[in-house]
Amino acid sequence: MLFNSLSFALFFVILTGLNFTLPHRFRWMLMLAASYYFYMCWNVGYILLIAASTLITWYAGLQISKTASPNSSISNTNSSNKAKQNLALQESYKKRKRFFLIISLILNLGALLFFKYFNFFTTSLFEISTKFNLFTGHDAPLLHIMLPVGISFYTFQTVSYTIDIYQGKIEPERHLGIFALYVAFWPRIVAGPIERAGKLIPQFRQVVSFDYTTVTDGLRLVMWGMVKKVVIADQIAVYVNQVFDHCQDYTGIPLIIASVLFTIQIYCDFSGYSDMAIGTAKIMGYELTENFKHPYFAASLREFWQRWHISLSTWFRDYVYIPLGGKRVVKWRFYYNLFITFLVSGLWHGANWTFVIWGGLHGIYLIVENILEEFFSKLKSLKNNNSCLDNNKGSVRDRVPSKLQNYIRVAITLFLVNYAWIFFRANSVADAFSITGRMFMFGGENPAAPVVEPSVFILSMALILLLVIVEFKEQSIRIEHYIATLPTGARWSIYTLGLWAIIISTIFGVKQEFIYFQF
Amino acid sequence: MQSKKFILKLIIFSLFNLAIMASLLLFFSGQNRDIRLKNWETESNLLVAGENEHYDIAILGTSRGRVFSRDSNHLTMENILEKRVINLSKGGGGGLLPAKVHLAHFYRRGNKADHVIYFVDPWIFFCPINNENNTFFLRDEPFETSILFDLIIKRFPSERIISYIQMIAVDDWKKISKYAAPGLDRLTLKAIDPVKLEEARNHYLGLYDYDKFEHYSKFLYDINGLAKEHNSRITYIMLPILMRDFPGAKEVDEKLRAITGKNINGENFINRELSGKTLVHKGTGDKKDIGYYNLIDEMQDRQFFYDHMHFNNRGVAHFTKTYLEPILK
Repeated sequence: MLFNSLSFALFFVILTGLNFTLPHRFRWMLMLAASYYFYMCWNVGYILLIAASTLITWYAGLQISKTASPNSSISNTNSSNKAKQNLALQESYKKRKRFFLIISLILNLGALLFFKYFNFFTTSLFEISTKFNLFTGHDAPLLHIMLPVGISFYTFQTVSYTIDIYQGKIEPERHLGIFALYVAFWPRIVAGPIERAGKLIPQFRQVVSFDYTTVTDGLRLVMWGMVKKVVIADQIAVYVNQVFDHCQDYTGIPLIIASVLFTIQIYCDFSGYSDMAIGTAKIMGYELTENFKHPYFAASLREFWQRWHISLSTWFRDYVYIPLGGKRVVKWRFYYNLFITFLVSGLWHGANWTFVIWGGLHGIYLIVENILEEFFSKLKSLKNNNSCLDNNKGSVRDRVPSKLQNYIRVAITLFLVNYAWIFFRANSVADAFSITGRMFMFGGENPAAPVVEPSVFILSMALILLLVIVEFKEQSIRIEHYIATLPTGARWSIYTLGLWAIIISTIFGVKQEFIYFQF
Repeated sequence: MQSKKFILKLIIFSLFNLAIMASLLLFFSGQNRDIRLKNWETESNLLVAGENEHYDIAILGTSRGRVFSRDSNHLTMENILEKRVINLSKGGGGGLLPAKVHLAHFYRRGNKADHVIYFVDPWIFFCPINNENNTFFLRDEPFETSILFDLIIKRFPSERIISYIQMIAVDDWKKISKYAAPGLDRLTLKAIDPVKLEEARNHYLGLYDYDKFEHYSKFLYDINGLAKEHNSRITYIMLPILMRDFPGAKEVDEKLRAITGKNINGENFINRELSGKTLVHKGTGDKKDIGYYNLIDEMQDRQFFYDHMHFNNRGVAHFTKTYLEPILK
C-alpha cells in the first residue's frame, strides 16, 4: 500500500477517524492492528518475521535489564568475602547481559544478513572462487525469495533498542503490545525514519486529542511530500531511467543531465516519502525524527551527512562509528573508522558492489575533507602569525566574501555528492565506470529519439526551480508553517493546485516505486 | 469544536474539488465522438460502433475474434455472410469483463444487433489478466464518462480506471489503434514448433487462477441478460485452436453447455449440414436465443493459421464460410 494510492487514502481516513474517536486505552491496539495490516498489504507472510523479531528483542531487553542490579541479592557488602561474591555475581550478570545482547543481535542482524545479503555474498564468493578455479562448473546457491519490505529499517530499530538497554540509556518496554508497535509503527515501517525507542515509545502512552494546527501542518507536509515524490521525482525518473538503463548508448550531455536529475530524483523521492511518513504520523499525534534538512545546501560533506537521512546517519554514528572509537583515536584509526562506517552504510543500502563503492566514496570524501580542513586550519594559523608581522597582505581566500566562499563550498559538495550518486544509481559497477568515463566526452553520438517530450522536460525544469525556491526558503521557515501564514484564498489556491498536480501526475504521469523501499 | 471546524473545511474543499473533477470529466467526455472509422481501420470499438446503428451481427472476443476484422478480413466476412457486422472483440486478451463493458456501451449508444457472436477462449474464464487486470481493453477507446462509471460500479481495479482516464490525453486514435497482425496475410503456417507450443501452453497455465472460474462464468449471465434486454440472439463459439487438450477447455465447455441449455442423456448434439458434409457439433439449442458451438477441435490444419491460435486470411474465410454462415442460418 503506497502512500500515493487510493487504498492508502481510504486506510488513512478510516484510521484517523478511529484514532480520534476511540478511547485512549485502545489506541495502541488500533495502531498496532493498523501497522500489521499496513505491512501485510506488502507481504502477508513476512509479518511473522516482524513478530519473531519483536518477541526476541522484547524478551532480550527484559533479560538484559533484569540482570542490571546484582546488589539486591547481597545483603551485607561490608565483608571482603561478600564483596568478592558481589564481584563474581556482577561478573556473571555482565556475562548474561552480554549473552542476551549477542543473541538478540545475532538473530536480528542474522535475519537481515540472510534475507538481504545471502545472494550477494554467495555470488561474490563464487565469482572470486572461479578466479582461483574453485567451484568451477557450479552455480552459486541462490535464494529465490523476496526481500522483506522494511527489514533494514526495523532491524536497525530493534538493534538500537537492545544496545541502548545494554548501555543503560533506556529502560526496557515491559508492555509487549507497545513494543510491537514501536517495531512495526506503520508510517515508518517500510522506509523509516529509524526511530529510537527513547523518543517514540513514550509517545504511545501520551493522551493526544485532535489539534487543528498539528493536523493541518501534518496534511500540508503530506501534500508537499507527495508533490516532491509524485510530481517531481517520478516524472524526472523517466529521463533518468532511460539514460542509466541504456547508458552504453549515451555520451556527454545526456549522462550529465541524467546524473544531475537523479540527484534531484533521489532527494525528492526519499525526502518526499519521509515528509509523508512524518506528516501522517503528525496528523495522528506522533512526532517522528526529521530526516532531511536541505542536504544539497550543505557546505561540506560532513554537513551533508548531518542533513541527509539523518535518522540513519545518526544511527551509524552512535552504533558503528563511536563504538569503533570515533575521533578519539590516533589519526589513521580515525580515518579507518570513518571509512568502515561509510562502507557499511553503503552495504546497508543494497546488496550490490555499486552501493559499497558509493559508501566507500563518501568515506574517502570525508577523510580527504578532514585532511584538507586540518591543512587549511594549520595554514590559517600560520597566516595569522604572519599577518601579525604584515597586516597589508591577505590570501585569496581572505579576499573572497564569505558568502561566495560558502556558495563555492556548496557547489563543490554538491558536485561530489552528485558524482557518488552515479554509483548508487548505476545498474552495475561496469555501468557506473562507463558513465563516469564518458560523461565528459562530448561530440559522441546519442540516440536521435528524445527520451522525454520537450513539454514534459520544460515542466520538470519549472518544478525543479520551484523545489529549489522552496528548499531555499525552508532554511528560514518550513513550508507547512509558511503556508499557514498566508491568507485563506492563497492557502486554498495552493492546496487546490497541489492536489491537482498530484492527481494529474498520478493519472497521466509515470508511477515509480519509492527508491528506498528496496533497502 | 476544532475537529468540527476541520471536518467542515475538509468537506467544503472536497466538494469544491469534486465539482472541478466532474466538470473536467464531462468536458472531456465524448470529445472524439464525431470520428468515424471502419473496423479494419482501427482497434477501437467506440469509434466504429457509432450511435443508433443497426447491425446484423456483433462479434465479441479476444484477438482471435479481432483477426476477423483486421486487414481485408472484415469485408471478406461481410461478403460471405451478406450481413452488416460490427466487431467488438479486443486484441490484447479481452476477457468476459471487458466484453461486457464493450457490449453494454454498444447498446447504451442506441445501437442494435440481431445476433451477438461471442468467440470464447478457455483462458478468459481463468485469467485475471484477461479480465479485471487487462490493461489493454480500453486502450483504444476515447474517454466517455458512461464507461468510466461502468468501470467504477463494476469495481474494476483502480489501475484500470486510471488507465481509462488517461485516454483523455490521447487524441491520435488512428495512430495508436492500428496494430500489425504478423503473418495475417500469409496463407500457411510453415511449421509449428512443438517446443513453442508447449511454452505457449505453459504460459497460459502460469496465468491461470482456477479459483476465478466460477466468478468469471457469472459474467456470462450478465452478457446473456444484456443481449436479451436488447432483443439480440447470442451464440457462443469456441474457436479452433492448434493445441490439443487446451487447459480449461473441458470445464468451459461444460459450463457453456450448462448455461445455454440442458443436456439430454449427457450429450445434446445438433447435426447440421455444413458445406456438403455432416459435422457433429456439440451444442445446445434448448434455450431460446442462446446457442453454443464447441469448434475447438475443428480446422486442425495449419494452413488456416498464422500462429498456433490466430486465423490467417484463409482461415477467416474458411471458418466464416464453413461454420459461421451455417450457424447464422
